[in-house]
Amino acid sequence: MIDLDGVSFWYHGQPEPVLFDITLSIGESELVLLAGQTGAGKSTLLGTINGLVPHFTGGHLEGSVSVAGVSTRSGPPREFAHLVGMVGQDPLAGFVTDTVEEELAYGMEQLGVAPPVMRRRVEETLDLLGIAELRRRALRTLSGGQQQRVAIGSVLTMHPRVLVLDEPTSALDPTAAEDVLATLARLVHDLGTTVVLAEHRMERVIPFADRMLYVPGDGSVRDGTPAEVLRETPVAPPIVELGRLAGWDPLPMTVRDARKQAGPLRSRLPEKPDHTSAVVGEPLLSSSGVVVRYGQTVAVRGVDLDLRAREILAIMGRNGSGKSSLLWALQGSGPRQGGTVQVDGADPKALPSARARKLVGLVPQTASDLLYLETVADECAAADLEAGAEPGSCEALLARLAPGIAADRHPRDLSEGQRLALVLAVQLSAAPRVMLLDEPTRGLDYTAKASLARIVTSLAAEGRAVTIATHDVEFVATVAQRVIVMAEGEIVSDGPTAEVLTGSPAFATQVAKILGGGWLTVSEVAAALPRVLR
Amino acid sequence: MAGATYFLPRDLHPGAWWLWALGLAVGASRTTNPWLLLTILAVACYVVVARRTDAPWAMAFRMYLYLGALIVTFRVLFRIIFGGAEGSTIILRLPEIPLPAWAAGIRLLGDVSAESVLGGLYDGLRLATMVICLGAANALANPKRLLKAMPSALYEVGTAVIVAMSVFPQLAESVVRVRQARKLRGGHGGKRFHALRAVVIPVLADALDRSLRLAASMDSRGYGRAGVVAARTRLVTGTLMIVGLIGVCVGVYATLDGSTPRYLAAPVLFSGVVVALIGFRTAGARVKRSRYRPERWQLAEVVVAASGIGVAVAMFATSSVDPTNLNPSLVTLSWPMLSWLPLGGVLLGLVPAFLTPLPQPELERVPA
Amino acid sequence: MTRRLAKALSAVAVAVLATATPASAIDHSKGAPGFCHGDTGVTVVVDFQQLGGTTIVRCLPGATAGTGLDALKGAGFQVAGVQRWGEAFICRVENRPSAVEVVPVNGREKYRELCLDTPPAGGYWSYWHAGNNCSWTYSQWGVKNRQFIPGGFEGWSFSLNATADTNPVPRVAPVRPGTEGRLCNALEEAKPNTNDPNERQQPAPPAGERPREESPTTTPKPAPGTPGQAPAPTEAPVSSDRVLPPPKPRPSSAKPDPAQNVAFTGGEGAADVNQLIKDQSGSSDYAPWVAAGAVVLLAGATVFTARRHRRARES
Repeated sequence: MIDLDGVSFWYHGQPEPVLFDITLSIGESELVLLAGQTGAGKSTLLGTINGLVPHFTGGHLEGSVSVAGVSTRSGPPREFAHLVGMVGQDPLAGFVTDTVEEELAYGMEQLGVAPPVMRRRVEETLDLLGIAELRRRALRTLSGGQQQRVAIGSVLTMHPRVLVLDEPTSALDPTAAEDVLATLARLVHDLGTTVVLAEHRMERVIPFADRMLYVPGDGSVRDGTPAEVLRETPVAPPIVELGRLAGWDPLPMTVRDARKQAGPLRSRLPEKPDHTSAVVGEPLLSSSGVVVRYGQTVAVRGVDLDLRAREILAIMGRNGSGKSSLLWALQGSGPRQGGTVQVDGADPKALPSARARKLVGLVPQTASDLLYLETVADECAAADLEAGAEPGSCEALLARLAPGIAADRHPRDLSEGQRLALVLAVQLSAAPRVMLLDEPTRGLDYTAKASLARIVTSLAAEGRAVTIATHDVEFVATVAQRVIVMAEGEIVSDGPTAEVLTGSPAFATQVAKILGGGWLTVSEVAAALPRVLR
Repeated sequence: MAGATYFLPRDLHPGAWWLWALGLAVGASRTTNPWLLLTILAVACYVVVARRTDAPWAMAFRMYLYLGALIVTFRVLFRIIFGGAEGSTIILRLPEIPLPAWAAGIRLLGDVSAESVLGGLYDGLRLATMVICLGAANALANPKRLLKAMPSALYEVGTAVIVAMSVFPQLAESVVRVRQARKLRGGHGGKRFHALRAVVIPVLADALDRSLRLAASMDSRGYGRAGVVAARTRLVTGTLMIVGLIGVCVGVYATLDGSTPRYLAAPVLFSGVVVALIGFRTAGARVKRSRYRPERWQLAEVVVAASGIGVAVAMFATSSVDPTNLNPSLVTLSWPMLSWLPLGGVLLGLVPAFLTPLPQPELERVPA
Repeated sequence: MTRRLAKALSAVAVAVLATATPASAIDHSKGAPGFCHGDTGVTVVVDFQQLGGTTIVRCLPGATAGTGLDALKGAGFQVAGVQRWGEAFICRVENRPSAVEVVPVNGREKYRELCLDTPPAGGYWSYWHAGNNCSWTYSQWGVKNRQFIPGGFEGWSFSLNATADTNPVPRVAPVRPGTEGRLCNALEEAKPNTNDPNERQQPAPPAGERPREESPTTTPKPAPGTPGQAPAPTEAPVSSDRVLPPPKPRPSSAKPDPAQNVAFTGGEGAADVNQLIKDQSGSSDYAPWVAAGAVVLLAGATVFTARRHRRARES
């Protein structure tokens, strides 16, 4: 279906090719997972499939890419619309119309499909994706998962032979991600569509994938079944790492497979993992009865929460459960209609924003909103000035958080992880003792997440209270001591990480699902194992 | 005739509503009689309330009413402030403010006569009614569907407008978000320009990112798959359209300006329209696009359009029978008089409130 | 019951309409029929020319200063200005040309004067003035801008399809009875010397047969006006697209001869303008009430329906 023959690609002005001499062929009705670190060339490889690379991005392409026998050289991406459906990372940015039904029909209108056929296909697609009840809704009012499904639907109506998705679940909560992935699996099974998808959080996709392409970043591609490819990749989902640790062969790809092999390992482990968490200090921020409402909608419904020194608190819950609103309210910049927040004897909302940020720092969901200068050095200098800190303190922080970022780089050219580190450094230069992070793991690959975990841990070790709102269970299991789960603006569970994460299947990590007994992460297991052997 | 399906809820063709509203507006433009204007207003308001949906543009009708009230107020105030002494019934004596010589001819305050205030009121009422009629069209006709109903030669323009319309709320959203984020970084410190830049740069960068992503998305979804057109055909279409439009312009000018030779009026206008239509057709013929749920012009649309056109025709017809009452004299103060024909004509505009299907209810409006 | 109610309502309507309208055309409470008798006051001559109807001569007695409009209205004439310029541009005198009569203006088929915008050059009221025993002069000033000549004449003559040279002079000689043969000694008045449409003629120094003692202390009523009957903007200084050609002043050498006067009246028998308008319009006394009823009913229905929809939305 898709044939790449000796494909190499250079972006303008860059000597090193992003892709180098890649030859592969993807057959019909395969679900292919494309993995690799940020910037390794995943999106570029995806773009070559419908000609966006190089027709839209510019750059130099050698070799040939053909889809269903048609070479992408022969025309611009629009001439491939009926063959290749492309779904981007942010579905909202790709929407042309504003209601679900019209969005689904848009592509067909461009192809000149006859109206009766269009009508029929729209109905079929609505049913296929389970969004029939949303047909007249405005796209902007949909939740992330719904938007992503509409985006998939909007290319499906053109009956493409190939569906290409770039990180379709990165912004979604676990349940919504499951929905989208299940939908994709159904397409492969029912319609025989070939699906190529790039994803950082492989653990979600691997159970569905027939085949895996790994882009290590040197221009090459490793190709094979997920089990083959994952044997030697530097980063892998927890299930694979556990398999490697335990020496399982073949590597398990699903929780079910892993469980079958887990018996011996389980017997070698102690009864209970050692959850001796760091000694938690005094409360730095105490709040009670916090209420946030937007008109009629109540976002936060009377939440009482204390943030303690040296504690990393994770806030979980589906999209729209009030996590962000709570963080903004605690920081004092967001709206708060009721309740009290006390930091250091003061209410940050009552203080001017320059003073409030010295008490509580917040890294917002779109961290880049805080950046507006041309170079990293400028940003740091401005941050020192704004925070009234010693000149160079932001730079020092940044060097500690993410070493090796050139000072003359443009903040927008940094990778997601580096940009996050920069914003964190900017916010930390005001030296707040309470640090709030809103969805920092979004769009980070395993490596970036690991370094974020390191950063967060060191912040807490220095005596700060750190709070992270996130969907990422594995990340929470790695860093957090305490987890609260929010739903409809209320805290529905609150407790030590192990308790909360093992308590419900929705929030269980892969390791917990495989081993049970309170085990959460591979590193815990790894730490426990030698002791047993000894 | 499909009597049973006639009243099934559906959205009418936006063009029908526009014709109706323009008919009312043209009717209003023919008169300054407050009775007629008020009746037109009441008719428009009732039809809007009876047949609008819950869409945001429909709910914006209230804004047009406020605008109308503002127009009337301003017209009257202007009459009072500048030269309100037209006529002899002085109702208010204000001290006149002497102005320097260079402002000769402008009069500030002074005596205010009932005639000039009434003149301002009638005039303002007429303008307000016309504005509110257009507001009614806006409330009843989905603007996006109107764009969709445009000839396919204008498809690209329509798409651009639709995209622009969805960009603005996004831009506003970004500004709010970035300004909030700005507070996180210490807020209002620094110079003004600095602060402005701190908002503008992230917003623009965001908008640029978005538009690139939108362009990529549109490209990969087949936007602009027009097929190849021969240069000759393109030349012919372009010439036809330009010649046609020039003809329309000349024709309209000649029709409106009485002193231009008559052969430049109707004949040129007509042939201009024909040529332009041929141009549109040939331009549209090359476009291989189709429309999802194309708007259909059915009986109900005809009823709506006819009712609006009926109002305009009635007002034109009565102006040859009863011109005195369409523009009540202000020389001698009296109640404006009214005859039956224009009143009946205006009430014709009420037909769509009863003889059209209800709009389709929006299924789920509650935001997620 | 309903009939009685309707009767009562109509009675009220008739009463309201009747009390609101003045009774007759020429306002006999103002001015006097015929020529003025002394050196004060001003005589106003209205000549309908081709429109038909008897020429009317009336006097605003006793006035020593004022604008042409003051003279016209003060003499009791009922006038209407165009909607665009107001009374700065007179479009009807004594309801002529009425909204229902067709004025045979060349090139304007079935033209009827609706008094909305500047009348066409082919059919409008031309404005004249004259000192006693002087000949008629086409006014270079607007009706609100020029000062009448005490003891002199103001003339209004309907100009139909005339050019600047053939504008019809009022067919009543500007000679007060009993003063025939006296010399014309009215001063040649200054033309407007700027293009400012609002430039006002300075109150003329006493002009007439005899110098007068009183100085023009009575400042004219300040009002924006237009030059002559040539249209010019009052509200916005935009040049109108139908500006009349400025008429050439006619030589004032010819001696006016009262012997050639057409028949004229003092307007005593003129029909009631308001009644006339009402008759011409075919308006009904009930129609405004029906309109008002419809407006109230529709407004009520609008509010009711809007409430119902809102309730339906909220539930």
